[in-house]
Amino acid sequence: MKVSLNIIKQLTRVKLGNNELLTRINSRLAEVEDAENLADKYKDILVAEIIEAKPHPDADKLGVYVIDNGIKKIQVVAGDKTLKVGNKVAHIAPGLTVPATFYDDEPFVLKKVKLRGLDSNGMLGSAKELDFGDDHDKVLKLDTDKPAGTTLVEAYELDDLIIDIENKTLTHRPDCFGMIGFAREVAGIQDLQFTSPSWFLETVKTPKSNNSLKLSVNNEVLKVCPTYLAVALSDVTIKQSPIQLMTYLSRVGVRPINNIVDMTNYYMVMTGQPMHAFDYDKVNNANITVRYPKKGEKLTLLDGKEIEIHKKAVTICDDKGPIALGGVMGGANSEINNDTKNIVIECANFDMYSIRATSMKHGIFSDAATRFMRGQSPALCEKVLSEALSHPADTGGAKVASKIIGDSSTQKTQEISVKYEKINNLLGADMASEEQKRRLTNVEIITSGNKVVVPYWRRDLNIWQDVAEEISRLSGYDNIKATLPTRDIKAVDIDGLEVVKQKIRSLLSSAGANELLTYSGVSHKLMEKVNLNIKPLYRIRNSISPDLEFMRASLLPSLMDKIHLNHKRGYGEMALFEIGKTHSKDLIGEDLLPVELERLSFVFSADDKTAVAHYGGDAFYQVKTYLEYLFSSLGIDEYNFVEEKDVKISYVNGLFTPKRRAKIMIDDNSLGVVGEFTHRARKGLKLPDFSAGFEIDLKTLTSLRDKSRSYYPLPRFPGTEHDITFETPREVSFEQVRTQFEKNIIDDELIMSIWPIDIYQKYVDSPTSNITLRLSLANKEKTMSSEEINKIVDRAVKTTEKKLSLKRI
Amino acid sequence: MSQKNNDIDDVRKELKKKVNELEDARSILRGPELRDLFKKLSSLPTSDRAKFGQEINSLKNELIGLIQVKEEKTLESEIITLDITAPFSANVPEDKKPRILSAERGSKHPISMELENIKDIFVRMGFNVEESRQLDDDYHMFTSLNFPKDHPARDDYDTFMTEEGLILPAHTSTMQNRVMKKYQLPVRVVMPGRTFRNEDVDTTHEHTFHQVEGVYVDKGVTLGDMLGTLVAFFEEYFGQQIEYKTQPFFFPFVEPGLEFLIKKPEALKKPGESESWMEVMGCGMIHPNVLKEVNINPDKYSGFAWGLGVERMVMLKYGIEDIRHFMSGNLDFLRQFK
Repeated sequence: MKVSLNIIKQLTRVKLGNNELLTRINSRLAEVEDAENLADKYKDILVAEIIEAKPHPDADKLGVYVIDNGIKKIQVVAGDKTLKVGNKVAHIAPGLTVPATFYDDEPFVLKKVKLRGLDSNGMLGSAKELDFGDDHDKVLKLDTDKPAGTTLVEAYELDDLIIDIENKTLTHRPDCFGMIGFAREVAGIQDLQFTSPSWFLETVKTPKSNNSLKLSVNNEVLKVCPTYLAVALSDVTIKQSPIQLMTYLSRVGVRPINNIVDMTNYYMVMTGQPMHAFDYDKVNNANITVRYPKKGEKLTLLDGKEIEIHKKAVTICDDKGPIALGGVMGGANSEINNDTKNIVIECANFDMYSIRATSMKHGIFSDAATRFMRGQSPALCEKVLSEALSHPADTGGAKVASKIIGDSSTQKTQEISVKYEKINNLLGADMASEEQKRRLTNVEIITSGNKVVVPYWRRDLNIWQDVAEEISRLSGYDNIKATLPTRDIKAVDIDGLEVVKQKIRSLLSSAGANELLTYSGVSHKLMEKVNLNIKPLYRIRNSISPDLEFMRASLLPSLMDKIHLNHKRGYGEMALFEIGKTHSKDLIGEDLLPVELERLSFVFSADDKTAVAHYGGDAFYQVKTYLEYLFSSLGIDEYNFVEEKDVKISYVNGLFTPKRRAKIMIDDNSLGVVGEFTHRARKGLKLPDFSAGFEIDLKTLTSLRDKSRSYYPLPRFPGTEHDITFETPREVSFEQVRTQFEKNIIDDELIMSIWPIDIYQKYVDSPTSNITLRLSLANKEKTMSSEEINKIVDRAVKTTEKKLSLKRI
Repeated sequence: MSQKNNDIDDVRKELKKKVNELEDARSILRGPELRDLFKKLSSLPTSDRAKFGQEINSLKNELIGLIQVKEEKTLESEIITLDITAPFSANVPEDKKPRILSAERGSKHPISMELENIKDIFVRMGFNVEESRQLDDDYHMFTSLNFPKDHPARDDYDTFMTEEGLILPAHTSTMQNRVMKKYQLPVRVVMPGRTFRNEDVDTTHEHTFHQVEGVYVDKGVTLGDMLGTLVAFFEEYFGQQIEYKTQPFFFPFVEPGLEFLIKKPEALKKPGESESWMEVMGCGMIHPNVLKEVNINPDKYSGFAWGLGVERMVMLKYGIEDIRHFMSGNLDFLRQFK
């Protein structure tokens, strides 16, 4: 919304300089988005008088004029032949910028030119070029009394500061969408008393009507249109508004149209109350009905767009059908034009919710709708309409030809009981009640004792906290001292999951891995590439891009999607991880919301060159190594990698190739899946062969973590190490060998550990492999003899050989 | 027409069989069957061509799909089964065994790193931490926060919504109602989380970003306490005194409602850089209706709440020029944050 400081100054004193005022508005009223000095764009444009006029000898449409611009008499050629000697015009001299283009990327700066052979010194401005209106066909004839040579700025009060306000900061303030309301606040934030124009406070008597035109109104939807007033005017002359009025409208962003529309818009700009003018003779039977539309009813709007009216939209109708979309936009069928003789002026109040719904449904955000959406007071209608009718000159000398038809709803005066001490307590301030009251009185909120009387235009004041906001805002939040609250010294509970997440971040980043954050949304295409089902995914219905259409049920595809581009950047190998939430339609919580799973996803990838140079085996083990590193660092010692044939068990199973995929188990709890990706996924995302990943559930991990910490006393006596190699058939897994062997050694007296040294296979399809384990052994109580040791080892080896059909070699 | 359809159906049957039988299934795409169909196309009257052409193409796409599935199957079948319990592959020399990468390549994401930092400061100040949800309902996004149904103030939040009507939170305030129910009075909680707005992305705007919400409810909590708490946080975060100012703002869930701005700290300024103010959060005294919604008596208790924008702070702290880097997954960017 644009605010004109000149208009504000007509309503209140402004004692601050422009910069201070803007700062003050920012800190106590609303966010200033932008401010411009209007005079800049009219700099050096002069009022000039035509002293000679003749047609162009070589061009039908051009006129040749000698003008006196107060400095000199010069010739200008214009695309308008109708100017006469004595007319005043705006002369934009060579070297000046056409005002309408002032803020364009490439402003139009005039040069002295020849037009069809004749010299033209600059331009005589049209309404459009001067940014006063839309007319581009003729030169704007100025209606000023000021002599030639006067600056245009002086002639039309263009030395103005235009302040652009962020609407969002005034969502709750319908009154501030009118200059009177804004000016009231400008007074308030300067600690000045504001007084509204008397007609704004009291109801002005309606001018006498000659009752020459009949008019009737039926309001069938009082709930969403609490007030609908209409009045008929006769003997209307439609013409251009006085230029001063045009500039007032155009400088705050409202397009001047003609004297009638401009008059209604002027009152809207001043009060926030929109009005609408119909051509009386186009309102069938002069009978207006306010109602919901009948099924399928259509209306062509003023902007030429045809709509099928939404069933909940308040519709203004005559006896034939709709003539306006109430509170939003008029219809083309009842539009006033130059031939209009009689008009109906509507001044009505519409429910903000209803207007919002209509605006949204039809995608129309007109000046009127913007104001009604803030919830204007119905009490405004009568006052504004009466005031408008009491200035016949503004309506082109029209005669009031009917009574004001329609009922005003009465608005009960609201009172709030306020304890000024309480306000101080809420703010942490120490403001005398007199000062608090003065701040309110300044903006015409009447106080009496502990009561505050809410003015009709303030629909945002309902509870004493609202009054507290008013007082603290008007007196300046910067005057409130920052203090620290006192609190108990109770220790804060630390969330275990949060601790685990932080640890994992540290552990993985210390292990050369990079943490990524990727979008929560994934595309259908990505899911297709990795062959994951989109059925359990929540679809976002207003996604800005297909890339974010579905809420992900796994973080892995998003991570995998980042591998290729980093290889391309020259990273030969990488370990990437992300910690985040996933959602699936298959998991709904007790609160009926989707359960949010907390996941850790990890991928490792090495391009072919790096893989050959640095990694001998399969990517699966590389990722598994990271997982085991995490487990041991988090104090989880007991876990298993288990084959899982059923793809359906876990959503991410489908990402992994079945022959190189394992379920991660801690006791009976499944933690997640680790594996190498399917050929399809690798191809789809251009991943190298040496790539793998895992995804685990962090809530499960957290819940299992605390249980499994254990401590082994340090050995006091020297131990020994033995390497043992078993020839192992294909069907027997490494883990079977290790656990079986370990089981046969375990003894309360012993401290031992076993770790893998080597796995050897003669050729790829060998029926057996040789697994070498290193056993380290010590006794808690004594130094063992080599015989004792050999006995233990041999016994364990024998039992292992027997149980698993192995052979020690 | 039916004759032509039959032609296609026959060819389809024939070729599907071939996909299964032929070793090089892909060769049928270049084979005579499809070629003949295309030939037939040109002999048809113009009016029939479009439809017949579409049918041939859909057959071709169907075959391509089948061939791909078959090829993938073949490739999968060639994969050697691993012993998933083993620590490494067979025959791997010691220097090529699996191992973790060196620490200097690792990195934490700057956003999560700074979130940890922010959380840590608030924990030290006595706040609990509760992460916010990423899919929520209308009640927590709006209704519990004193946004009446259909209220125009809802339009100020360009929310994403799922087909079921679930909302991707546009602010972490969605958690206010939950934590005030969950924790005993006095309530002191910060709620970091991911938030979403339906907004076009450029160097300073993202549709996905992070906020840290905070609430403090107790007897006698004042607006001055809010300012003091926030200043204390920022001074701890930036490690120096800060200058702040406030601007009135409308949020239905606070009264009074403010925007909180800080002056760019000296330490972060480049030589000769002029002073600038940054909006870092919205804040205010919790609206009585929001307290009533969780059965806290607003006559006895008062509180404040805020929503801190994380990206902007992090960009300020490190001088990051483009907000899009955060979600880019680009290692050139990420590896700078240790």
